[in-house]
Amino acid sequence: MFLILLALWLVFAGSVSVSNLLLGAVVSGLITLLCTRFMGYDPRRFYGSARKLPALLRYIAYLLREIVRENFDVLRFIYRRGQPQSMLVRFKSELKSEPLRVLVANSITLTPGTYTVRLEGDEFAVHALDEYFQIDIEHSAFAGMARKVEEA
Amino acid sequence: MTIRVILAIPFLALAVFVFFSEVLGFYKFRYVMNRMHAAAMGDTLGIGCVLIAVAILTGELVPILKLALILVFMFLTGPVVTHLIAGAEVATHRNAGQEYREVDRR
Repeated sequence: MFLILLALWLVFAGSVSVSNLLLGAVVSGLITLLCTRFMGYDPRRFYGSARKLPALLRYIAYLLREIVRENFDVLRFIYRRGQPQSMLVRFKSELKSEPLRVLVANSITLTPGTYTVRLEGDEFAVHALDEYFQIDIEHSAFAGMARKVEEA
Repeated sequence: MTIRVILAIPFLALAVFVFFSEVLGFYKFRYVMNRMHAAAMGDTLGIGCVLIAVAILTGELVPILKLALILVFMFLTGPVVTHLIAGAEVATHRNAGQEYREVDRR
């Protein structure tokens, strides 16, 4: 987290100079210290999960591709005659970790055409603009990709 | 400079088209939960295209990184609002069930 905060500081500062680096290191160190003391942040666990990074990056790449593809699908529905047959799909996910379930729910919401209405425990309620988008939910490719992150 | 402008124009044009379609879809769909799908387009592809175009136009590393941060911020906050509106609609609309079909795949 220290490194991420420092990188963020340098991006906002706009240049890598000694004063920027020193001040950024002090501030990032302070925030990291505060989080460790009061917010249950564990550096070992944080850096331990770095091995999940490749799977997570693949997930993000897939998410971006999916967003672009579904955008054009929704565009088609806008320029087509008639109202879409929207539906609310409830399904269960096999993902065990809560952060990943939230990640999947947010990914579903980010892709136009589907969004998560409710997420309780392992039960998703997803609204789809048309039957067409529901196919994606059934495949639940996001959940499959997230499982790879979980197993990594 | 001109090469950059030529490269950026397609992205800007696509962004304008997406935003236009978003407004059009907003009026075309009759129910709030369908309208939200149209609204989601501008938040993702629309803003993405604008940021890519601006990134091409500036062409410097630090502003591009800042633009990427804007995109990350949009992607993190967008679903929260969609989620809240959808939750409120399902919770308060008495006949919400008539507007869409419910499918159970549990």
